[in-house]
Amino acid sequence: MSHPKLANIFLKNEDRVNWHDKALWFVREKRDVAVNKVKGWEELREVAASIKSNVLSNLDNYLLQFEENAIRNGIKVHWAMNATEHNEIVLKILQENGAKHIVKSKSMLTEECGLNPYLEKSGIEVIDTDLGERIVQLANEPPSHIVLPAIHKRKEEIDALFVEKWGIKGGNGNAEYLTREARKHLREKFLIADAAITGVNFAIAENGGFVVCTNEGNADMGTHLANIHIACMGIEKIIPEMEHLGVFLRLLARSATGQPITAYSSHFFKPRPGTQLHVVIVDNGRSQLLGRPEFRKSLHCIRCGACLNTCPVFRKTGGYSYESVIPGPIGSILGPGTDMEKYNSLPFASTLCGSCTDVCPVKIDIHSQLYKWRQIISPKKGTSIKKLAARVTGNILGNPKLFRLSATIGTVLLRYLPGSLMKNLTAWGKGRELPKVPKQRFRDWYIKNRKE
Amino acid sequence: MSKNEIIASIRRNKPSLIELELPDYQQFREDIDTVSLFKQQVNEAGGSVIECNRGDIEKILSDNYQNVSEVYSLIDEFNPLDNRSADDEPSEYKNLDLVVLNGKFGVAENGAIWVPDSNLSQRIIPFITRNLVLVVLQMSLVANMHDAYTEIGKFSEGFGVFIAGPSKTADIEQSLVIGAQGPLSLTVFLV
Ligand code: SF4
Repeated sequence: MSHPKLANIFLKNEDRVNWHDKALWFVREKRDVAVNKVKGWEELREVAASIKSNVLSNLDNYLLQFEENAIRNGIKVHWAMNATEHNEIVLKILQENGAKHIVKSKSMLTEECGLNPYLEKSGIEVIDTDLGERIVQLANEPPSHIVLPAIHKRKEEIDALFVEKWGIKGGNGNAEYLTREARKHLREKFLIADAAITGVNFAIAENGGFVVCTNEGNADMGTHLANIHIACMGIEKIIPEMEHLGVFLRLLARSATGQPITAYSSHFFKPRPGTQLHVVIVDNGRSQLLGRPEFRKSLHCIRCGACLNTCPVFRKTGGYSYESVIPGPIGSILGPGTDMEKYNSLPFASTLCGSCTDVCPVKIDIHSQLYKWRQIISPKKGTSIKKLAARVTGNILGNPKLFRLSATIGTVLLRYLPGSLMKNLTAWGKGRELPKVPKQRFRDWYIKNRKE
Repeated sequence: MSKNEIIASIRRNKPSLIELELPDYQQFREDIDTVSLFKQQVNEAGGSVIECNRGDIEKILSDNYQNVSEVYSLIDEFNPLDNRSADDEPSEYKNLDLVVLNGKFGVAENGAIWVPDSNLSQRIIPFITRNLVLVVLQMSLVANMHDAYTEIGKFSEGFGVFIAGPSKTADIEQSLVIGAQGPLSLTVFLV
């Protein structure tokens, strides 16, 4: 289904839409507060972007250097061209060691590869150990957000889910109670796990180490208890030197949740004595993306989620409207790169307000890339940009009731309105005069112009 | 082999070399009071700070943690009976109530404390315990993460972690809950 159709489903529940919008805006505001405290934030983003540009231009050598150093440290390194190969490698490691119970911490890559269902087919139990991920796993749903996987769920629903799945007493949606119950449940899983699977936030070429960031401590509970640790990383996760972590760790959590750093930033270099440490390096279309100069920069992404939180369309339509593993603005440029037919509506799920580009810690030109995708997709589909964009933005912005629910959308658009872009590119901005900020409220302007 | 294929594909597709610029970390230097910022950041991360002399640690610990049964300490000033051997299975530590460790240094901008393998007997210890105490030298504090990595330098150990506060989650409706899968509390002794 296209984004507009799926968005319509999400938009049916006004309360949920309103809550979702507010919750994400709250995270976005926390990000602003955290960012404003850092001296030279813009320069820090520049430094990060320039490191990433260097990485992409020398990726082959950095990967080989990483591999060499990792092997020297006793890490086993595997390479996977695509998702299938990645899954086969992981399964083989598990089967060779007779591992049946697996605990996994958050990894968007393993979502991308469909690892869980693949392992489960072979009779292996995979438990997601990030609380949000465990919640969606119990509900048999994918994550709806890359940092806040269960942001679309209300506390009462989570309560009912735990009662149903674990037979616990209900807690009236009390977050602390539910978190403690999940803690008890996950403890048992950690203690019996044969292997732990994690993602990789950063892999260091110069010394073969890698870093995993969590707030819950779930990656560490998994990896330091089990005898096998498998870390799965996309080829773009490489950074040249250890000192560059200083740059990226300062950016990551502030952009993601407004924390100055996550509770745990764990640096793995060597396996614990007597145990195995594997790294699986996955391409799965990334090296192809590298060959497209206009979209290459999307490989800078450190998966902080800031562009999702700030996006008025994401906040109002929810992660499932995108149908892609990575939703939101970044997902809307990555999606069409992997399957243009399937994801052809995503580049239109945007107002092109440019807020995503403004918050992106690694300076990806997200909204320009969305525009470039529109240029490629529109002629192929034989539909005008205007029509497609109208379908998407029309859904959210065309419903005055829903629209009024959110004061924030207006705030974003006013604050980040790149006037010329808005006017020229979005259906509802085309040929219309933009408001003189801040004299006129966006809503008034919008209503007035819509009537015209 | 996929490795060769991936490397070949990258070589075909990568742009021409963009030099790695030497970042100027000096521009991020701020005039800050590292001690007060560090204390504030540990608190904001959900931890607490006790400023004291090394000699007082034992008394404060015994006063503050009277009802704990399983205690594990790797600091010289505090030697509860319960010390175990490094060869134990990591799951043996599952009922720990209190762990006391030395941190290598603290970072003022975010309250993080660096704990490498050499400060641990088992990697699981600071994560599996209900309550964690880290002892940090006031002298050791650095301003920001750039300084932190300068401090770490060439790292040759197997594992190291920055710990900022106790474990936490906000995955249920964005309400912050302290104590997720790791410790429920973190106390920093700043000496
Ligand atoms: S594109 Fe930028 S803002 Fe969006 S998730 Fe990636 S790094 Fe974060």
